[in-house]
Amino acid sequence: MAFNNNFPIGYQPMYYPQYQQQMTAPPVQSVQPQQVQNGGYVTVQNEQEAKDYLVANGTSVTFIDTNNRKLYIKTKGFSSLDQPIFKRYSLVEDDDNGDQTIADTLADLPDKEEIEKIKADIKTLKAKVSKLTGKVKDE
Amino acid sequence: MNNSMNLFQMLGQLKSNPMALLSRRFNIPANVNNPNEIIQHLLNTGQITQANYNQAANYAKQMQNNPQFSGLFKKK
Repeated sequence: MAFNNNFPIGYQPMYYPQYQQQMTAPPVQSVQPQQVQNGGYVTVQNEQEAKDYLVANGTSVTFIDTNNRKLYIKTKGFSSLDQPIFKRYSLVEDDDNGDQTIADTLADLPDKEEIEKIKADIKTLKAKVSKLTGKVKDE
Repeated sequence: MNNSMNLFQMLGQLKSNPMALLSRRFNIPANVNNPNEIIQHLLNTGQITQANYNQAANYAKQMQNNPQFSGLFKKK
């Protein structure tokens, strides 16, 4: 009959579910970048203790040195073959204004030009003294 | 079964070679026998977490500072 699309009665067209599945595009897998995990804070007595501390792959552990006012961060890569990265920081106390006290100290230091001038003056003085006394040796 | 090990044999093996049993349990390679290397392997394989290790290290440090356990640790 015409309503059967000219197929013989009882004909069942083959159904290929797997073919239909292949027709759909595969889902795009989003690659999650590996992120270093925070391994927590550990107090240590010295730098060597922090260096000897074991850290898991893909983890970063922060060490607070209670004796030396320093901070260490040890980070291990995601591979067992990676060497850990070790960084050290000095803790600087701020004054009541919230500014670092070390900044004032640095501002009073002479710059390179001044230092070279001072060196030249010292050399001249040494030469004069050596002429007079014959005791001072040039370095 | 004839090849099943009885309890006494297991205890004897544990006493004579504890690493054999632990290596099998935690899949530790044969070339890893240093305590730090074993712990690093357990960390790398995820069998223990960094938090586990931190906690254990903290307990060990407390025990070292406790005079009750003074004879327990090897002196470096």
